[in-house]
Amino acid sequence: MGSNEAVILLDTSVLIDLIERRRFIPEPLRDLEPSLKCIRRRVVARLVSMQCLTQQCFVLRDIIDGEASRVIERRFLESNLQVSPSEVNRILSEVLRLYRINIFDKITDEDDNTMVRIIEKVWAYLTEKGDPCSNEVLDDDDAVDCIYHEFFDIRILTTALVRGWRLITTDCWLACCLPIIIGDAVPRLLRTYGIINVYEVEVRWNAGDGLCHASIYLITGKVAGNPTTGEQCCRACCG
Amino acid sequence: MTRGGSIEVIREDGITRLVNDEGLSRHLLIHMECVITRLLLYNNAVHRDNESLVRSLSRVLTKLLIKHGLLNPGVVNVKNATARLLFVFDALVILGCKLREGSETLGTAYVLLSESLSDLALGEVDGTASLLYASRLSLRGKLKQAGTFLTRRLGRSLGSIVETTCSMARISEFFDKTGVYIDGDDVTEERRHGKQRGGNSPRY
Repeated sequence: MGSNEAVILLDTSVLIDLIERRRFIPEPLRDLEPSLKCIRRRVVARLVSMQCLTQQCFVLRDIIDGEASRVIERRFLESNLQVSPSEVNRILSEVLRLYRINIFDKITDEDDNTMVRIIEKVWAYLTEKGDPCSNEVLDDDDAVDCIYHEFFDIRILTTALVRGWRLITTDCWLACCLPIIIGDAVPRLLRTYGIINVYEVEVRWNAGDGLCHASIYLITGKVAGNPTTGEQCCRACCG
Repeated sequence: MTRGGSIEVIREDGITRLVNDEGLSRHLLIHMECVITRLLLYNNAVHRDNESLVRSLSRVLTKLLIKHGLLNPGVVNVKNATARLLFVFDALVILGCKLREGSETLGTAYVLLSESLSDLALGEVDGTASLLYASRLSLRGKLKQAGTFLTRRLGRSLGSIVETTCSMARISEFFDKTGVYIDGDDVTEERRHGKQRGGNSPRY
């Protein structure tokens, strides 16, 4: 798995899983039967350790300053607690250091232009064909809202596509649904850890002036079996 | 045994007792090494699959750690054997990292044993045997030899394995103290949050 050289981009979902890689949170909290999450976090930690030991791993600067920090701060707020931005930074920096993950902050005009085109494509899909999960066609406001909330995963996928990088995520929608909205996705089961599977999803997007591609490692317990098309994978993710 | 609405799976009092009793910690480690080695050899001899090994091992080690007061007795009822074994891993990491402050070799041996179990739980049998052997070397005070062995067999340095494991344990301790739990699924929930608020169907 992953023997060929590639630059690895990590999704926020992976970064957050790494923070709690060793801890088991009984889900629901009063039940000792642990959920899939427990095993998934270990699989994520293992895969990232292996990949980042021999290959270059990155997270986007936007992720560190934006989505990842926001997720941590929100969880504290939900518990009526506060965490200082410096504490959040310290935790994130420590995780990056330990797993040899670099910060990528060289977003170019090409990234921005590609992202605009991908957003247009997502917009058209949601307002014409509908949400790939519900098949519900969205009105303009809902489509804007959806894209607003999907900003970071669109940014991450765009960065990987522009450079032909490999992406690691636990977010099914990012790995299967977003790719079928913008182009094509072909999933392949790489490895199973009992209730957690690792898939490699080959994503292709016709940029007009050429074909962009990226491969995504998806670590999930939401997709069972061996889907062979992006649509099957996406439907499984929708649950 | 509850904290912040959650069950205390790993018992602090048990950890403290073993940290303060190096002899007992050493005895427990040797006992676990024997159990794991015996089951690995048995498994190999009768060509059982890894799943059966994980099932047997998780059952035996869970009972052992419950007996020593390291795990909540309720863990024995956890149905998923991999998850049960990862609970054992979790307890040994905390114990090992704390023990290192007093005895580097004993603490390191615990950390390596825990990593060995983690590899086993995920079906990485080669890593399991190497880490188990390195743990034995560490327990006998042969840290340098353990480091050389791990670099040669797994391409990982002893220092980085221990540092990563114990640093992550410290981060988890920070979250433990606050009672805040975070998870990769928080990210995906945040991404779909607007959709739910807008009344559209959830994606997962």
